[in-house]
Order: sequence, then structure tokens, then C-alpha cells
Amino acid sequence: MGTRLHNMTGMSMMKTNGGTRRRRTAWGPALAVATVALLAAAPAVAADRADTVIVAGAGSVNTLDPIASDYVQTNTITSRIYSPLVTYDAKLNVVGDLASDYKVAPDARSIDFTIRAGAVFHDGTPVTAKDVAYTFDRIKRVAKGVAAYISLYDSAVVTDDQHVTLKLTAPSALFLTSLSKIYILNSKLVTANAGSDDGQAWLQNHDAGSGPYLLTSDNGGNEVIMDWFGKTWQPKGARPTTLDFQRADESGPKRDELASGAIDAASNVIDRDLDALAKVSGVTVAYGRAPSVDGIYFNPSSPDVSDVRVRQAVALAYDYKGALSGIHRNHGALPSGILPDTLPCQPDFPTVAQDLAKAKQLLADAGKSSLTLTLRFQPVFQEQAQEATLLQSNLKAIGVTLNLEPIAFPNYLQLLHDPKQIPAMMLLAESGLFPDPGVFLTKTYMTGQLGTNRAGYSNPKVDDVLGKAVVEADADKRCDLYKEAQTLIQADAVFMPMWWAGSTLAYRSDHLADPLNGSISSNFAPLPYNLKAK
Amino acid sequence: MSVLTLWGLATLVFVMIKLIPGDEAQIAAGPGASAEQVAIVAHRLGFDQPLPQQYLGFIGRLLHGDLGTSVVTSRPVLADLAVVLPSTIELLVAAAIIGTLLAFPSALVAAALRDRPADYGTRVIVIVLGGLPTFWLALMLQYLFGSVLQLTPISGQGSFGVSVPIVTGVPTADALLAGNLPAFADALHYLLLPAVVFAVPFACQVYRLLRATLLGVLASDMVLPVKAKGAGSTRIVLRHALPNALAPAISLMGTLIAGMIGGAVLVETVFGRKGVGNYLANAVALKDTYAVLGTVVFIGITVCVVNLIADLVTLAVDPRLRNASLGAAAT
Repeated sequence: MGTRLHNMTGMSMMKTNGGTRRRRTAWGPALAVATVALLAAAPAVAADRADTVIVAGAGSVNTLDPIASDYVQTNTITSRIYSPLVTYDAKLNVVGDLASDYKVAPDARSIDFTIRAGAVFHDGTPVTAKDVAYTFDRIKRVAKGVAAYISLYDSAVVTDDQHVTLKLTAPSALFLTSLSKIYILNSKLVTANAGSDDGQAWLQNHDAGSGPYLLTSDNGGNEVIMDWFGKTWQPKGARPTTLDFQRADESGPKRDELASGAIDAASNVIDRDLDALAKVSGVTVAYGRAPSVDGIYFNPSSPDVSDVRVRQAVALAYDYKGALSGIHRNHGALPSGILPDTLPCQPDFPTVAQDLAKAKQLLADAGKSSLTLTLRFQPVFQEQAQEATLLQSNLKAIGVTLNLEPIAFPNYLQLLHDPKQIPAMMLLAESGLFPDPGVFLTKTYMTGQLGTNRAGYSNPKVDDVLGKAVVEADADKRCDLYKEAQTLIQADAVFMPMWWAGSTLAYRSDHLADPLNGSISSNFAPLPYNLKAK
Repeated sequence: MSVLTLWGLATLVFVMIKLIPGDEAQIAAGPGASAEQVAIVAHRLGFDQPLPQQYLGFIGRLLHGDLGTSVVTSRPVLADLAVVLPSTIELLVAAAIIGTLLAFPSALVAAALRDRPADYGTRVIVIVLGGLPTFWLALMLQYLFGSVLQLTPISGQGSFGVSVPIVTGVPTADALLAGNLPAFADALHYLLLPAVVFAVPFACQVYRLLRATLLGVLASDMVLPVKAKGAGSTRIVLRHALPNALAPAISLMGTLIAGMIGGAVLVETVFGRKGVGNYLANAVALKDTYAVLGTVVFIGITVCVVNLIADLVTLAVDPRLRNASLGAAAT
């Protein structure tokens, strides 16, 4: 990782500027340094820039170990360097990736996989069933990151180089859908560099994958460059030869770099800068749907909100339309269900709407015409702070005093491990990480899911329905069970959906095809940064 | 004294990091981790031990030169710092050079031409620039020179496609070692703006102190005989006043350079540069306990070393201090 593979077109640069610089050197070192520095940037762009896509996003990539792929910034990189056994097609169906075939056992306690013939790692080693077994066993040992997605993994049985069976500790039809972020490691390579930590330190900045791109440079997580892997089984299509992911936390620099053409796409750009970019020639701001929802979890065990009528009243008091236009600038949508947007198997719930009269009536029926509640929220997210403030104002109209208490996410996570400490009301942005809503529903609403059950919610009927869904192999029947569970949860009003947040991406439309058009969410599969047809 | 300072610093930071809300093991295991997985990670990292035991373990490792292992990168903190430190050093050295080049001439001119337009002009500029927040100055310079005038890159450390073998980790030095002048120019180009952002407050403070000290020297009796001999103002300032005014300026520069490592958090973040500041900011955000502790202790050691160097340089350039020290030692 010591050298970037792209070689600069040094000779042409010398011809362009060298003479000028040499002459000025004679006038004095200080002047020469300043002149060289000011004149050097433009010619430094390499010749293959046209076949390169440079993407800027926020947040650090602290490790390239694929076990950390539960972290979205890491997954952006690892999802291209590594391959999972399965992924999703455009209709969100599970399809083989590194696995050419798979079969879930009728009792949902094991899954057989056939490894794709001819698949090789970046060092040329063939991908075998042994690598799959090693990867899963390692994740179980290390118990970090994506380990949460395969907590039911028990063991792997390797039949031969091409066949492996994953055995589970309990029946689960959801296990297969959670495998899209379990990236298979080159066991020989990682074992050779395992050290005392199962290769975590080595994988921090090394590549042991078989994905369509191979790692060529990692500048401490600030810039990661990868090149197309010629031996991949995937067709290249319009994908660029080189992908360059850069970290840029501030929105302003991303706006300016995109406008100048120094980068090709930028995420996490604030609204004001998006407005400015929308006016720049060659730049397009794309808005799409995304599996995300902002909303409030109520802890029904908390005395303040233990009455379902209070929870319903709070939900009816919120000015959803005002928030959509005033806070979210009409991007995203008003929710009509408790799941993040775009996830399938959602019942036909009505779209959320404000009804102050009904809210007042519910409070009166509950004998709580004068009430003080406390909402915890994360002030670092400006829109969430605005949502909280709007709700505070709305609730005042029905005689409820809402105290707003900021909380940091790590602190909130700590509270979730003790149901007695779970906040009465917590405003959060939730995302679906897998297209099967069962993964989200079971983690969030089943009894005993300490750490992920945000409401401390417990309803035996919901447990029973979701328990059936987990072992149901038939996708349609499973979908019906999900809908039934959502209806029960909705009736208990433990989650108040406020906004289906969309996704936003600013990109150079003179260089790239629209990455959001026709693609599935980047939560589920890597966003396609395809070059625009010339 | 330095050892006591570092011990106090390490203890203070240990207490502070433990007071930051959030379970370190939970953060390391991931937000979706089950209680069982969190317990496994906590045990492996030693976070299930009583706090005094964790503290003693940290101090014990520190005494052996082990800053601990980052929970996030799984690498020794010292190894992580070795990767990011050269970039920060490059930035600080560049800032110090630019700051010195800005401060010294302007302070000399201001002192030599006291209460004339040049003096008033530089003082006004210093008052304005010295009061600007670094963060805001960085964004403004990015906008003006990067976006509007397009004279400098906006962020990053090198143009796409520019590549040299990494030897020292300092992009400019590696480019020179590779004999690749265009890559050197490119690295300088990316270094210029963040270095100027750092250099401005540095230069303002050095200017103020140096100008005041020079004026004091110029008003002293020792200058009278020099003037009586007919020396010009330039010679008086450069040959007689400056050497006598140098010691406090060098001492201040040492303190400022050491302090700039802390300021690197802002500049490295805004300009998308890797470095110690950026590493520390990440570590705090992710509650990477040993990365925070190790980095802070490392910065503490650096501050002590830089101050020591500044003291030694001061002794070297000022015979009065040298003689006083030697005399004190002799008696």
C-alpha cells in the first residue's frame, strides 16, 4: 500500500511548466516555490481521469476490515473490494453473487451454497468453500460489526471446494437476506497475517477480497483508491476503471470541488449548497427514495406514555405537512407506516396527518389534559432538532408541555441495555439495512432484543407473529405475517413515523449517469457510479 | 517536571474519556451488537475490568512505551500515529516557515518605522487577521483561492494520479526523494492554503511580541552609542536590536508550534488532510479510548520536546541567557 499505482504524467508536466519554473528559480528560492505551487495543479491531472470517478463523502473510514461493514462509510469501500455470497437484484430479490446457487433447508436451520466456478481473489487464489467457513468462523470469534447480522450462525460444513453448508443455532428464513454484508475473505492470506487479533490490524489497510475492484491506495482512510479487477466474474459495463473515494466532512468544499469538476459526486451536502449546485452547469442534484424514516419511539413502560391514547395524541398533534415543506423542503415523503420507506410488505395504513381536535379528545379520554413529557433527541442532526422543536410547539396547542433533552447516540445505546432506562420518547432516524422487513421488525420490536429494541417494546402477539415469520420459507406468506405484525405494532402506537427521508446525491452529469436512477438503495448494494455514455 | 506533567495529563484524559457518555465496548462492537457480543468485546479489550485496574494497566503500558491499541483500527496507537504524524509535521513546518517569513519582516519594518503608515498598516492588518477564527478563515480562503480564483486546490493532499513511493510519509519530502519535481510542486500546492491558515495566527502573535520587544530595545540606552557612531536605522534594527529581541520571539514560537498540533484538528478536518488532529477527532467521536489517550500523551510529549528545543535555541542565540545559565550552574 506504499505507492499509488497511478503514475503521473510527469514528462508532459515538465514540458508544460518546467521551463518557466527553472527560469524563475534564478530569481530566488522563495519566488520559485510560490510559483511552482501556484502553477502546478492543473497539469497534475492524470490522463485516465476520464475513466475515473471521484466521490466525496463525509465520515472517516477507520478500517477496511469487512467485519466493520455495518458502518456505512466502510461498507461503501468494502462492498466493492469484497464479494458476499448473495446480493439483491433490482426487484430486491436475493440473488447469488459469490454463490452461484443456494438452497435454504425446509426446516430453515441450514443453507447450502455452491461457490461460483472460476471466482478468484485479487491475488489469483481461487475462492473456495473453506474461505466461506473461515470468514463466518472469524466473524463469530471477533464478535464485532456485522457479527450482529449473523448471530444465529453456528458452524460451517465444507463438503468440497465448491460446496459449503451454513448451520444455524435456530431456524431462520431471514438469515439468508442478512448475508449481503458478509464479505468473504481470502483465508490463506488472512491466516498468514492473522497476528494475535484474527487479522484485524492487517485488514485495516490490506485487501483480501474478490470484489470487482481491488484496493490500490489507502491514505489513512482519507482517500481510498481502487482499480477494476480484470479477473472478476462481473461484467464491467459502464463502470469506471478507477474509483476514488475521498473524505470531505464539510459541505462547502464539496460544493466547490464538484462545481470545478475536481470530484464527480458528493453526498452529505447541505441544502444551501445543493441549491447552489443545482444552478451549476454540468452538475445535477438527484433526489431519490431511500429505506429511512425519522420518528419517535415511545417506551410504553414509562408512566408518562404508558397510555396508548397519550401516544396516539402526540402522533396526531404533529404538523407533518408543515415539517415536510418547512424543514425538509418537500424532499422525501409523508409516511404511511412504521417501516422505513421502500421496504416491501407494508400494510395500507393511512398517510400520517395532523388532527388536533382528535388529539385533544384522546388526552381528555385518558384523563391527561395537562401533561408534561420529555423527548430525547440528537442535536447534532439539525433537521431532527427542528422536528423536535416543531413537535414541542404543536403539543403546546393541546396542552402538553414537551421538554427537549439532548442526548448523544453512544449514550442512548448504553441506555437500551436496561429496559428501565430506555427514554420515554426518543427521536431517531432509522434505516433499513436489508430489503426483507423481517430483519428490521424482529430486531426492533421483538421482546428481549436488548440494544436494538428502541422502545423496550414487548407484545406476545407480535412475538408470536414475527416468530412464525422468521421460520416461514415462503416469501409471500412471510410478507403476510409481516403485515400482521405491523398492524399490531401500529395499534400499540409505540413508534410515531414523522418523515420518510429520501436520499440526495449531487453529481457531475456531464461525466456520470444518474447513480440513483433505477438503482436500489446504497444500504442494500453498492451505488452504481457508471460513466455517462459519450 | 515533564514526567509529572505527562502523568497528570494522562490521568486527566483517562478520567475525561471515561466520563464521556457511551459504552466503549458497545461502540467497538457496533450499534446492532447483541448484549452477548458486547460482553465478548468488552472482555477482549479489558473494558470489563474495574476502572482502577484499567488505569493502572494503561499507565504500566505507557511506561514501557506502549500507547495501547486502537479499538477501531485494531492497530497499535503508535503505529497509527506513525502513519499520520509526518503529514502533520509537514503542515506545522510549512506554517512555521510562512509565519516567520510574514512576521519577522513586518515586525522589523514596523519597529524601524514606528508610528508611520507602514507601522499603522501592519498593526491594523494584524489586529484584523489575528482576530479571525481559524475555522472561518479556512473556509473563506478555500472559497476565495480555491473556488473563485481557482489558484489552489480546495481540499486533499494531492491531485488525482500523482504518485510517489511513500518513504517518509511527508508528501513533499517523498516527492523530492523520488526526484519527481511535478509531484513536489503538486504537494506544495495542496499544502499552501492549510499552511497559510495555520501561519496567520502564528505570524500575528510573533509580530506583536517581536515588534514590542524591538521597540523596547530600540528605546534602550545601548542603542545610543550605535546611533552616535552614525549607523543607519536598518543596520541598528538588524544588527543590534534584532539579536537582542530574538529570545522571547523564539520562546513564543516554540509554544505556538506546540499549540498548533491541537489546532490541527480543525485545519486537517476542513482541508481533508490526514494527520494527528484528524486522527484524534475520529478517536474522540468513536470513543476509541486508547487512541485518544495515546494521542494526547503523544501530543504532550511533543509539546515538552518542542519547548525544550525552543529553550535550547534561545540559549544558543542569546549569550546573556547562556552566560546566566552557565553562571548559575557554576555557582
